[in-house]
Amino acid sequence: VTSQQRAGWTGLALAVIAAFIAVPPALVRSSAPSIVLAILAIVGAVAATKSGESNLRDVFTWSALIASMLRFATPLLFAALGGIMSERSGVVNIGLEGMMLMGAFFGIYGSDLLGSWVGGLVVAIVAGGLLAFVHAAFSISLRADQIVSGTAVNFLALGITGYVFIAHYGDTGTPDNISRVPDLHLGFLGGDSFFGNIALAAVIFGKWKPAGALVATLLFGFSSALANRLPTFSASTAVLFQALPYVLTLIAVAGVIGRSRPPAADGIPYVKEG
Amino acid sequence: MADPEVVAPVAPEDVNTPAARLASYIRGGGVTVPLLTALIAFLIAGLVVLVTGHNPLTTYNAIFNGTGLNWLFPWTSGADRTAAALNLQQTLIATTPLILVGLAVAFAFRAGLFNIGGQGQYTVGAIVAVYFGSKFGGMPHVLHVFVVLVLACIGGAIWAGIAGLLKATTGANEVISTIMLNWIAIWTGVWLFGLGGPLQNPDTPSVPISSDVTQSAKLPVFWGNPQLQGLHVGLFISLAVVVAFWFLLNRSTTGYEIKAVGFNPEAARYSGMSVPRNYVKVMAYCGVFAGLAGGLDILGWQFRIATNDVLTSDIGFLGIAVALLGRNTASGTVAAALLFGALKSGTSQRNLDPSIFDPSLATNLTLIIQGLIVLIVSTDVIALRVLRHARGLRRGRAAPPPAAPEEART
Repeated sequence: VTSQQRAGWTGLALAVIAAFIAVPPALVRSSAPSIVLAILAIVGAVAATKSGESNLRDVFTWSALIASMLRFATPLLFAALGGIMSERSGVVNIGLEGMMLMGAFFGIYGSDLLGSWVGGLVVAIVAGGLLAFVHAAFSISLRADQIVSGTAVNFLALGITGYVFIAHYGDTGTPDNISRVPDLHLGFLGGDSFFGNIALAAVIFGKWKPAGALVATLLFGFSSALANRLPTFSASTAVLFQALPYVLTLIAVAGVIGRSRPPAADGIPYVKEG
Repeated sequence: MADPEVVAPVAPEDVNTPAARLASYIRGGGVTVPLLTALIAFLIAGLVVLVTGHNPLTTYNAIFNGTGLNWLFPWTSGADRTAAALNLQQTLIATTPLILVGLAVAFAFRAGLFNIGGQGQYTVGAIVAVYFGSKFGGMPHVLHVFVVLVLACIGGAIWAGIAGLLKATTGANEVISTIMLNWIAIWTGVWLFGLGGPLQNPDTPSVPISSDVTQSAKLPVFWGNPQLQGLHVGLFISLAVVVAFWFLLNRSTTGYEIKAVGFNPEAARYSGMSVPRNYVKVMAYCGVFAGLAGGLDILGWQFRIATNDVLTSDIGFLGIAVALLGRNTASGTVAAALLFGALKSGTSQRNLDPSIFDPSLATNLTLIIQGLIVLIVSTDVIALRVLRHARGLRRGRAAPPPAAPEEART
């Protein structure tokens, strides 16, 4: 065990402990203190890692880290806001990640076809919206089980994007010369894993409120940024930051009944009376 | 499959557990609805194939041959038969864990819980199996296998038990907690076997992979060549678990309590059952099933885990589709697992003839089919409507359809 590993471990332990304090059983009513504490926990984790290595300041600077955080947080926030809208109106949205995936792939695809990133964005919005329409048609009009149809929508998104990807680009990946918003290159689409239910976690951690989701996505974005930037000096432990959002959300849900509680009629199909 | 059902003690509109809603799925339509569901999904996917400029019939035929199920036909002979045997072994290897993760989801459903955590429980089982399987090389063969599998089951049970415990003590929604536990398990696995990770193979410092399972922990191969990934005895283990599942659910007090809690927790509580304890128990059983699936995969054919395997595995997620299509029954789960296992191997790089259909396209086609099946299963309205239409044509419109009250609920 190297000193960096030990430092990373300390940082992670600190973050988890602080999060536990942040979501105390039945103490704090407002979500603000818990979120502030959680951010402090992450900062503490970084500080702890930092103390383990003297040349760390050279490896990653705060500005790069913040930029990286915003890059991860931006798409998450959009997805989380969508999730809040559907969950607050009573439709559980496990399919959020699938909708993000549709948007991500068809954004590239549309941008490639139309030659402009604005067109790509429009295509992305339509693609995500179409998948959401399927989820809505099944869970609202056909009164399907919302968790099941959300799961289905995720499978479909993986299959559809993967199919079009292979049919159009082959096994090599998307071309580099696509019209971009900032820097976008879809290397991850080759694999067939869900890229985490992290937007869903942000909805829950943000307690189904927009402001909460904003802070949650920033926090989770920061966690992802750490996971992606830390490997330069501590390969093994950095990846654990990918798990942090899920650990925090699990703790928030478990905190106590009423701490992070879904809307009352979430997941129950609405049937008109009479 | 004629499962004796616990009758819901109150009108279904008063309970809103998944089990209560699913009760009507199980009552209505028998084996016809799942068959119809699969058929519709294959038809739509066939349209996708057609629209993208391929022939759906030859594609499906190539996938069918890729599954090796043509081995069952007596007229398959010679080189075809040899290839079919190899392919069928792959199909059954894929079916083995799918049966178990399917049971892990189905068991929870019967207790009114939605276990989305099959993937995490499977991953934990695999991690535990690869750890203990790569140690204790001097142990007697059968004992080593037994110990490792039991530990994998315990690992899965503990992981799933967390969700059960949280639900029992704090009321945390098990859907949310199992999803979170999935990703915690996955990233933990990536960390463990990643570069510099604590369980990375020390002999290959530049490869993010675990140590190999020792010879004494490998499951024996009973069909095919062990060097060519023949069929291991894990299939029999999982079929034995199916029988155990059936007895547990239908012939034991535990099963009765679990189903009672699933249909109506309030009524179960009033009749003296401990609902929280049942939640923990059910989730632990689910973890045993899924953890065993991970253990069998490791000891049966994988023998090691790379971080990429942890990230790209979708066995546990597929368990949801298996359980839903199999209507949460023992026999239905086996049939659905065989369908999804066949799809998985039939569209794989190894089995599908690339001159007819690109395997990397086909694996995505599989995902589309799986998505469609789950989507159609999510509401039995479609299948029931088709069914009722067919019946209506036969009978005329004299009598009201018998399942009408259920349809209003689902």
